[in-house]
Amino acid sequence: MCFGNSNYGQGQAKNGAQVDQYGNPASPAPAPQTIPQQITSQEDARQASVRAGNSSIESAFSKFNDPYFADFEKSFKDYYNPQIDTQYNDAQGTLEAGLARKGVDRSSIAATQFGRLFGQYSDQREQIGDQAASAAGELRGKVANEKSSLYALNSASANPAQANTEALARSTALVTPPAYTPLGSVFANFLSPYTAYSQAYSNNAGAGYKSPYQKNNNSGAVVQ
Amino acid sequence: MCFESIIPLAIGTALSVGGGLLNKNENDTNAANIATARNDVLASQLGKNNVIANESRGVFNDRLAQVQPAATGQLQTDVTGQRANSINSNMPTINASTFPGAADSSSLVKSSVAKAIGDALATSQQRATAHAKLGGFGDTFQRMGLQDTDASNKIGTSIGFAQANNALTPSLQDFAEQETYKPNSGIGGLFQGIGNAFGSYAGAHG
Repeated sequence: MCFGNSNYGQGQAKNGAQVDQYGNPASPAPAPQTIPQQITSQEDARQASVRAGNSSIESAFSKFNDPYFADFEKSFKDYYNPQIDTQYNDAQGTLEAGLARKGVDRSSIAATQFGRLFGQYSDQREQIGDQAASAAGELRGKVANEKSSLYALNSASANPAQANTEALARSTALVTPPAYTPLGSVFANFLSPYTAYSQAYSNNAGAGYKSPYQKNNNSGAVVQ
Repeated sequence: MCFESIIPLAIGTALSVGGGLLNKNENDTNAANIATARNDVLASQLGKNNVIANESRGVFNDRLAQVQPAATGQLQTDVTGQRANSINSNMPTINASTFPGAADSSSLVKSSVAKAIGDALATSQQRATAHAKLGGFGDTFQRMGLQDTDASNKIGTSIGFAQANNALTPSLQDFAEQETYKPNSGIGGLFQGIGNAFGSYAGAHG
């Protein structure tokens, strides 16, 4: 034909062997597959893709291990402990002031009250430790849910590249810290009698003014 | 019936019967080959699914081993210990000297403060131990649930593979049948035709 050889890039060596565009011996063309062979090979390839996608998911989520969750617990405590410590220090001062107003700040009563306040403080710290463990468990569940979703997505798409991208995106989203509300005033109930006492003491008008020059109940006296 | 008509009739009958038998034999052989081809495809697909089923069975057996009483007990011990560590490591330490008024209080008051906060801490620690033990039950089942989810992910993938193989099986069997099927040679039919001709001849000259 006038347009020459349609097999662009391929040629024929002098000895008749097929060569590629660089003159290297061309690899023999694979034998054509029958339709059943094509079907089974495509399905095998799909299953291999799903397995590869699952491996990508496992790899992307491997960072969510025990040290990761231990670090999360520590972060949880690091957020809440300073708040409770500050509140405790403030509460100690308020209690000290309340006891001093009553003149019992160096007494066994004060010792009992400080002990009760410390008990509340240690209870709060215990709660924070427990909540940190629970929060870490909740995070484990979220990680597992995300992983399951990706497994399902990978099986549906059979596209390991997409599964890998999704896995990375979701694992990155998981490390975004959720919003944690700061602590409220945890010692308010304990200190309320003292703050009420303090306020009442401050607001007390006391006895009315009485002139030291007034000797009787008469309305007044004229100095002559 | 004369003798000259008996021989053609006998030949015709023999050819017809022989042709029928030949047809039947070819049909039977063809049907047997088709059945073998379909069964081979089925066996191949079942073999693939058997490998997948063995994988799933392995995952399930591993999970089953994890829920044996000893393993479950160990898991509960571990997770309870982890929660206890999380709680206990967050408990405050006793330092009575940092309390307000500690410097200028009498020794009696100081010892009272030390005892009061010591008692309070002991109570909190008892509560922490009980809290960790209580939370350990929930933690155990949460971890078991996570292990179930992990096994489900793996087995679910295998189920998908097996279902896909099953879905392909009828089509692959049909292809195998088409490749195996061979039309009859026609020799049997030819014999039957010739036999009929002999029969007709015998009838015309009988």
